[in-house]
Amino acid sequence: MSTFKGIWVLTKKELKDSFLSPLVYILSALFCFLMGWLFFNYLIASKEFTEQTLSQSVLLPIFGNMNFIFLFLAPLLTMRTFSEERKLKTIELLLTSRLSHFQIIMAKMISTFLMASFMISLTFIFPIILAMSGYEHWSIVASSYAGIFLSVLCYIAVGCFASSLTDNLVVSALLGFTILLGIMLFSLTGNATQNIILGQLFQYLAVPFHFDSFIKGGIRSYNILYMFSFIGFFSYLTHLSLESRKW
Amino acid sequence: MESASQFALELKNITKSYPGVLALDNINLQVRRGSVHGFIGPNGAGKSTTMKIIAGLIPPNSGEVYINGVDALKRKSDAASSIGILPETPPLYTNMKVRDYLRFCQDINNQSMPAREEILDEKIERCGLTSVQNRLIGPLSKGFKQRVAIAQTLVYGAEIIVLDEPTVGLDPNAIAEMRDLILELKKDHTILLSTHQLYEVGRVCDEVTIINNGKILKTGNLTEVQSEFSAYKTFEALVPKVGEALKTNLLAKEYVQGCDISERAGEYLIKIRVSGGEDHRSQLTSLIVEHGNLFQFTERTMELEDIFKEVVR
Repeated sequence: MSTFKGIWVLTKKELKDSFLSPLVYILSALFCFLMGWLFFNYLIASKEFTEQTLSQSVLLPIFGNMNFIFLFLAPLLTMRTFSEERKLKTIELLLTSRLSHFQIIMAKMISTFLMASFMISLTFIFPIILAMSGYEHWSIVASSYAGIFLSVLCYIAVGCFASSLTDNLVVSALLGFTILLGIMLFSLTGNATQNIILGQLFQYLAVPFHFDSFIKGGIRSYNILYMFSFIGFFSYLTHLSLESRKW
Repeated sequence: MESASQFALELKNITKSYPGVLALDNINLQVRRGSVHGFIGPNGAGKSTTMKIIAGLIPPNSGEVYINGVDALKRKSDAASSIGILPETPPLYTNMKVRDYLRFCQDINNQSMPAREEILDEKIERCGLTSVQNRLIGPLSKGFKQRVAIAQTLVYGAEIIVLDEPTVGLDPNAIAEMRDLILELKKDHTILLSTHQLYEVGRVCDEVTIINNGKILKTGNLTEVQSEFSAYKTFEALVPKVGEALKTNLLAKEYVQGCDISERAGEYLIKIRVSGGEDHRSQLTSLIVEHGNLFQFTERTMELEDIFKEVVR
């Protein structure tokens, strides 16, 4: 079986399961409400900041908040991925099949990413509304969306790893959130330290530091390298976690 | 001397230890192609560990596993397509429909298989799932769920089926149906059946392996194992009363290996284990009659359960 076919078979099943469960719709509704409310407030407030562009007064804070909200939503989206399989013992069906760990992990991550993308796509109306006001910095919009997609993919990689550690959904979500919060706090640690090199190192290790480059339209190659290394690292940890069942 | 190709499944010198516990101690197991092989042992004997090693879920510390002649530890993917595993807890996606679930199992195991839909139809019919194929698995009865789990092992063309406790929690009717299904599958599959139901092993298996404390105690053809143990005979005598003198006199006979007395509704049942091929019935009945009345005297053949008790003792 080709690698992609194997990934697609499991991705398809995961997507069907997810969109048949109410969780994704409940989370989407919550996400829409929060984002809509925030967008409305930033748009109203932007009238008072006449010296700022719409990118600075609306887009920047909106994407910053979206990234923060996904810090909570991503572990909720990923909590089922491996925990439920472990709980129902269906993980044995996958592990004894011809699918490799790589295919299983990729399928789980892709299906969750597509779910998150569905939620993010609900915010496409924001740039459309801004366009009606004459906004035309589409490269900023594009790089911000690229940033949020990559950032969410990083969060999903962490969530999948947390889910592979336990068969309890709540513990999985909490664990995922704790790891993500810990990574986010690297930024604060970086700010607090007197040592410049250590400070920069901590900054570099935090996902939001790289995400900021995307929403400010100043993407560097190391931002993309960091994001993919991060995803690769946590995918490898998930592989080790699955492998540890044999130890 | 049999050639290796006669065996669908072979475990050679398998040792597995967990911290502080030796779960499997250098075991060897051979399952003949086309047979139903009963794998029995008390709880904690090492059955599940053996099953997990065969399934590739855990590796052994040492030893080799051959599935259809393929080294399953080195070529896991090649071995996986010829073996279907039903773990003790059936791995079922309860939110899926029976047919969708079986198609998914086909997809993750052997996507390039020709005539997939025809095979799916045939296995669904064979496992008696036609009436429920478009229903969700969740609300189905345990008997049907177990059938779905067995169908899952068949849909991608596996020749060897490993069933771990397939009758646990089933009612007597469902157990009988499961037995019929196993006998039906026997026609074109090799089956390794791990179970506590010794009666079922006696009815459906051709070969048996008894495991205890991580060691294979007895393995071979069921009738051969039974005949090996028929070197001992057990007689049962029902008497109205029994004294210590009778027991002493029975045990004094050199051919009597053991004597157990139990009370049953005001009468006494004496179980006498006798060695050797000679006929001692008249000597035994005479001896008992000397000590009082004898209501009934019967010879018990050694059932699998007796052999199991004898071997794991």
